[in-house]
Amino acid sequence: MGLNFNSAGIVKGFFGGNAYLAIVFLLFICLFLFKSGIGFIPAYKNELSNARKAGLEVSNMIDYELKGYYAISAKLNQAFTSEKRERFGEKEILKYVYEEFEGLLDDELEDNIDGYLDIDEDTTEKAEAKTTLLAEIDSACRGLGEKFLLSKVTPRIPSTTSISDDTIDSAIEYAQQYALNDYETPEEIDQILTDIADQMGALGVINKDLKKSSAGLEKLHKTVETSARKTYDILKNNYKLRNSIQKLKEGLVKQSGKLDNLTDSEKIATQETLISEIQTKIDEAKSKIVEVDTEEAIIPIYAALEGHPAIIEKLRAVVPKNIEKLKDIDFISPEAKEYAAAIEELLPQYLEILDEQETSISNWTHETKVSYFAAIKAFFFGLDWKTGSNRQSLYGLIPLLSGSLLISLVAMCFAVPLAIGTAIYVNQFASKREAGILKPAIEFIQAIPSVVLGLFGILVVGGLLKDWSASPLLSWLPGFPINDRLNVLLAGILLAFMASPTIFTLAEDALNNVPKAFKEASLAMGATRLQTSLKVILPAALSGIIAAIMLGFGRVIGETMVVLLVAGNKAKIPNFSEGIAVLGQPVHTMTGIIAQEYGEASPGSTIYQSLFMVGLVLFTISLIINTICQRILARQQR
Amino acid sequence: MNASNPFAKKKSLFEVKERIQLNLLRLACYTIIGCAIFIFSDIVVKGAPTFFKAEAPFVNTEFFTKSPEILSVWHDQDGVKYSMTKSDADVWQTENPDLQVIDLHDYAASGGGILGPLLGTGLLVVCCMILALFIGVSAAIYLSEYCGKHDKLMNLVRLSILNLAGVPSIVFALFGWGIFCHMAPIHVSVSELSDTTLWAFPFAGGYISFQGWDTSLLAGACTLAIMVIPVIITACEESLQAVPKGFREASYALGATQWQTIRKAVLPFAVPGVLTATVLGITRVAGETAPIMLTATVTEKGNLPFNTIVDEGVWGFFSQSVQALPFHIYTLSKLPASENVKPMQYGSIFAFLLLVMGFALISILLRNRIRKKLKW
Repeated sequence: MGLNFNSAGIVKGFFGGNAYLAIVFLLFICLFLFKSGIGFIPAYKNELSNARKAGLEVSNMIDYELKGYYAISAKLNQAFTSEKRERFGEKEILKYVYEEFEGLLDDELEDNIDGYLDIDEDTTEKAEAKTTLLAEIDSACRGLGEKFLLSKVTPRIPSTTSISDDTIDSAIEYAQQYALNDYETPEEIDQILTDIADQMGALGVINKDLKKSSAGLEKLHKTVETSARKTYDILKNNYKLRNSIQKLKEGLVKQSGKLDNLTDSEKIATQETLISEIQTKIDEAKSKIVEVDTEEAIIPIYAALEGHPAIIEKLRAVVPKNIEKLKDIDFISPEAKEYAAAIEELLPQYLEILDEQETSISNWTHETKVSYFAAIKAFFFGLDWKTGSNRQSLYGLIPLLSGSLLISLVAMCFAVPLAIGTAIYVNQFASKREAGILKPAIEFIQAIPSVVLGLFGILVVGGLLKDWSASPLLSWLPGFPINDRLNVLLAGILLAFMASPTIFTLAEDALNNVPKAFKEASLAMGATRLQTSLKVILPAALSGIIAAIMLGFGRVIGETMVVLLVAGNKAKIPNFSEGIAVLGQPVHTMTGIIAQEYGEASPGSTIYQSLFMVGLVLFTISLIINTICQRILARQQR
Repeated sequence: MNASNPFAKKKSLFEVKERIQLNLLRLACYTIIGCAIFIFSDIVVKGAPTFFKAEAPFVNTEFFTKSPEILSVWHDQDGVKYSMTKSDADVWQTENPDLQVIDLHDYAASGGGILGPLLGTGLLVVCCMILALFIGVSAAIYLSEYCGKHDKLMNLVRLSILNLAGVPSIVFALFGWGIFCHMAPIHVSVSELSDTTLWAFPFAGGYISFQGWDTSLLAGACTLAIMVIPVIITACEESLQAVPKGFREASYALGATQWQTIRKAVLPFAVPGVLTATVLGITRVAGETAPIMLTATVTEKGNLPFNTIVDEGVWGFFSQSVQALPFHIYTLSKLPASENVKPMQYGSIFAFLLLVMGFALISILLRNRIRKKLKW
């Protein structure tokens, strides 16, 4: 630019300075994100190493083993309940309804029943009393109402939605028998429980055996966890205190420095009180630090771990044996059969988890140092994002990344065919007038604010999607009906609608840029218009269209409000083993986590830094996508 | 067309296939349009009842003259349903002591109107556009008038502009939150000096402290400005480039300096383009939620933004946090689903949609007009 101090130079410098601001902003964003994010790694390293020193890490490993067992046990319970419902559904409800009635008779109609029972002889009097009593029982029982009964039954059989009149009628009948037979529960009612015990017995035994076998592991986990938590909490608190002492000390140095420049005695006095205040704060913080000998605190954990191999050995023997027994049971309910099959599939995975964790637990020592690399790895490849609990915070990117990618992928599946199809239609087939309306209309859609779309998704589309997925016409689709109102599919659909105009506009430009001669040559060869469009023009514009798709992807993965509102915000890795049904699950995203957790993050805290790390990842992704697209478009223009 | 014509050519399989393919393309196009129509009509139909009412003056004035408040809904022993803001409800309950309040429910931010958020959004947009236009237009003038097309540094600027335009808004939000809310310099007295300040030095009776502006109008406006500058630079540069070279050459030939040329011969003709860029920028900025959510907004606020200027002066005005329509909508959308909240939800998105789409419509119309009109 040179140093011109004439007016033209100043004007030029003024404008130029503003232009360079763009570069400055970009660099500044890069640097700032990097600077704020980079502090995360030592902080996370410290948390991880505290967790290791305290033994919390090994507690997590045991927790993994338990989780594997819980997955199997949950399926087993589901199999049990659905089988029971299939075999004894109505009968079991009958029993519970009857029990309500029995209680009612005991409480309120006791005098009437006693009155009837006290009449000795078989006279007409007795017959009359009998009819009155029966009528009384009937009306009293019906007086309870279905709603009340349902509220009593559902805690025991959660799947009940209604109680049929037949059930109530027969329950009343049994209640009447109960009254007439001198408070003796009818045999049929007692029989129900025996039947259930007889026929469900095998499953029940399996369930009980499994529970018993895992009890040892649960106990071990509890011992290790309590011991480790105690140490970890102290370590965590100490780290916080040390940090604040560090800050206070810096402040102290600053304030003391000022003292030298002051001459006014009043000011010196206030400054001195300020300094002494800081000093007391430091002393206070120092007094709160509790020194803990991790070497000693870890001893009970090692002692407890000695029992671990034996417990695992037992589990390894008992679990497969019990699951083998499942095969001998004749399931009536198809659902229970499915659950049983799922358990069998889970078993090898479970055994694998046991193997893996057993070796890592036996190799585990609290002494190995956590390296920076391990902290970086724990962030980029960590499988859990857990903040805000008073236990150890985990910052693993994978659940967020997989959620973001899954939603974007679903959105692109919808958006790409729609947008490209629209672009071809508008560019090649629509009349001039039609195109003149369609193009601005679609560009207009681009301006719909994302938060409006998000709320609309919650209010309208979410309900529609849930209702449609429950319709019998679509029940053949895997994963339908969808249980969660907010899920990947919903977010994907809304984002597809958002991304379509972006992709459309860019793809249409690319189609427009294809030289006219291509089209003319193709038509002259006798190709139809559709053939020309799909086989000549589309391939010629392919690079531009790919750039359009990528920019659309960039827009989708960076979108915040829609995913924050409709993706369900559950920070766990979507369960891909369910196949396409994964679309019905709630997930969390990188953009969503920033918008959700910024409120709890104070500057300098680990969570604050972790959010900047996530932002940095997003920033990098968008830069990469942009750069590639610029390259593609630049080459195309040449 | 005549179906009974025995000589009519039979449609071959190929033609049928081709027709189906074409109609699939058409279907894709009208699916998008259909979805848009569905969304608009749903919001208009359900939002209009909040806007209008049956008796004169036919417009629900309360909705536009009040700020969001807590909504209380209950019924009395006769089953008559009441629904009013919490403050009104307290008055009502003391006035009607003989009527029981049964089944009372409170809903956050669902009563009253949207005046506060509307004003907040307006202020954010105006402040942001002033900043962004100042920087954006000057940068565009430099890029278009002072640099050659193949200047290396300028290509770098263009590249960073393109890249900035693609950065997700939440990253801008994070950046603005970190810089403007927690690091920007501010003049404070000793007692206000924050523990988290990066650096502070004494100045004019107090301290200049790098401790940030907290959630404030200014922080929000700056964040939005950085976000929208690439859009404005690109659009303005385009409109400057569209001014024919002859204009400049004629001006130089008359002995004008470069600055005179720009001022008299280029800028006046680029004004419509700059205007379009402005409206385009407003459309983009007004619709954004994430950046202002982190940097500028609060859910509830007792007074309107302009009242602060009287009490706390100009700096107080800029450093206050504001309500904003998109954030208000976000707050509403997190409430549990209920019929009592829906009027506010739909009313707010209807108003917001009208606002943003109005600007979008103006920008599209303006652009088309300019394209038609300005042909040299």
